[in-house]
Amino acid sequence: MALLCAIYIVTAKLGLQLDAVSGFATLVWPPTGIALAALVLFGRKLWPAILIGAFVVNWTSGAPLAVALGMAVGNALEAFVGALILDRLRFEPALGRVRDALVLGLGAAIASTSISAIAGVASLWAGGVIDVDAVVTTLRAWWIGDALGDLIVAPVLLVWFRSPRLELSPRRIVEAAAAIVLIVVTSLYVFDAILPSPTGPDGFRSPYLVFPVLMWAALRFRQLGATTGALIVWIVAIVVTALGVGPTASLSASLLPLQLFMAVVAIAMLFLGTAVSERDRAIRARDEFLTVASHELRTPLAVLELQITNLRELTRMGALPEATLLTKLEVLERQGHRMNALVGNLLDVPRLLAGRFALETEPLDVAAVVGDVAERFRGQAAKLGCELNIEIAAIPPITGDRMRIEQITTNLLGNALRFGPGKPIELSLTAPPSGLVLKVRDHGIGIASNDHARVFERFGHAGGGRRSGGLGLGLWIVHQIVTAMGGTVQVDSAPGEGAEFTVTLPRTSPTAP
Amino acid sequence: MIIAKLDSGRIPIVSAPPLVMVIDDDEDIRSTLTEILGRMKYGVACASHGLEALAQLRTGTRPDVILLDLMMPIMDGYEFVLALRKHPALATIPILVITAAGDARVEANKITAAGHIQKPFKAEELLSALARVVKTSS
Repeated sequence: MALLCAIYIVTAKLGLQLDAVSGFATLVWPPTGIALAALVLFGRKLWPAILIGAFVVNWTSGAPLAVALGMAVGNALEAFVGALILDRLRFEPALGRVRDALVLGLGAAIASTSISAIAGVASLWAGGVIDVDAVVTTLRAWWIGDALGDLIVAPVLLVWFRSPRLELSPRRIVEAAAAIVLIVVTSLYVFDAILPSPTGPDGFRSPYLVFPVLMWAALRFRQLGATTGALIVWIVAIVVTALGVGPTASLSASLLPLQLFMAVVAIAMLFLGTAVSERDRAIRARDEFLTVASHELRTPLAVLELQITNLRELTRMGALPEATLLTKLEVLERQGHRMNALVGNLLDVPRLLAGRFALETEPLDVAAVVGDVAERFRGQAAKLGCELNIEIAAIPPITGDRMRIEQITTNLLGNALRFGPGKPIELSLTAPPSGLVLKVRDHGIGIASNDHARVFERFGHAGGGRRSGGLGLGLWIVHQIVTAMGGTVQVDSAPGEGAEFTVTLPRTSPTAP
Repeated sequence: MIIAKLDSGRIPIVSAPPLVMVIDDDEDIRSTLTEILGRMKYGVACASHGLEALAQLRTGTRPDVILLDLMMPIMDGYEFVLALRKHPALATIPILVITAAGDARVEANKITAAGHIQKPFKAEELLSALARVVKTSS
């Protein structure tokens, strides 16, 4: 906490050195980004460090006690509320998804910074530090300065702390160094610090020249390259201004175009970095899926191949009594069913994604449908050492889709057998007044609470598909079907304590999703 | 050494039958391989995942070769190999990877296995690969 407080004070003092509007609002306000990143990474309990740091900075910069306190409260609230919004919107600090960039931009850079800007400027005005005429200018500079802190400084810290490490071979190190040099040189040129020439309409020329080199950094070094590249451009702008070189020598005079330029650079790089990362993630998910799909489809084929060879040999040897033959045919039948279920799940994916599957409802003895599916699993359960306990209440006929109810039951039982071999499995179907309730409980490895939502996602293995096998589609399909039927599916589970899936369906299903 | 020749149904046994440990989570694969290998006069021990296999190895089971599936619940093939190689007495047991996932050769190289077979495979392929591995290790 003391370290955060010290860093806040030092960076804030540096920021205030640079031609602050009304003495307190500046383009350069890294403490906002540092505070947000610290509270996101290490917990919101660190807010007192921001309060103390901001108070010390403002008080020692000449603000009256009450004004300094008001601004400090605004600064601390800004960081706290920003971190809270990101947490509530399930922001991932590694910035691996485009939605993370969007949440950071809207939730922190735009929403939470308004708190500090309004509180700070209101304190300055109430304390008589600024006139009413300066309120709008100061508010704008404060808000955009803080927003840039969240858009430029926070992402760099978040990514450096949370993003997966890049493999840094000597070649990559040389490439990274070259990218840094090129970004610095291009930025110096853009800010007119080198090769002076007639300036553009905004006081700095050809600003778009920084984008190709920043894009190179983002494409080659992902978010690390994107966010660090934007930070370098920002630092160059600050240094050029501090040294009094180029058209931005009077920061407050060209504040708005420079702020807008930096905001565009930061936002563009944030979204490019996350988009590239999302693409990487999609490629990894595809490869993972292909590996798992290959495993799931080839395994029954392997059994079929071996069993057919086995049958041929036994027949040739004249050692195939009827009982043995029937046992082996059961194996073939079981693996055929398995293949059929796998292919069915795969073929369902595009239909479900496109919302093109229709429920074919009919009067249904749902107890008999679920019971038949459960009974079909008895043999497989016994082979896996699972005692299958089935409790099905007497239920009057309902209107429902037979095939889809079979599919729900099949997928839930298949899931229970995969993750709870050697342990009992309970299936129950009841009909309380609210509708139908199907529960399938296993006593297997269980699911951590932070994976509960993920198991219902497409290819959403909780513990990694490579280990568990399965296409990662079964529970997603259950969720899609149940939702289309107007019902719900929930999981209650903890690691090592098995899992209970509860499907609640209305007695009359909609006829189409 | 065993020379596998499935068509004849007979094999010349030169020494004590080698013991093969089959580690695969699919019960049908285990039972079918047990039957086929048993008919070829191999001894067979089975485990449904890596942890179960390690338990058997700790109680004295000493296979001449391990047929190892890679994707299994509880302890997968990769973790099993890491655990196995920590025991000097077990680390030298040759491993023949049998996997349905991805590229068997690539996966086998990752764990420096003695050989690999991609599922689905013919019994003849398995038996000749087994014979090669047993011959090399002996």
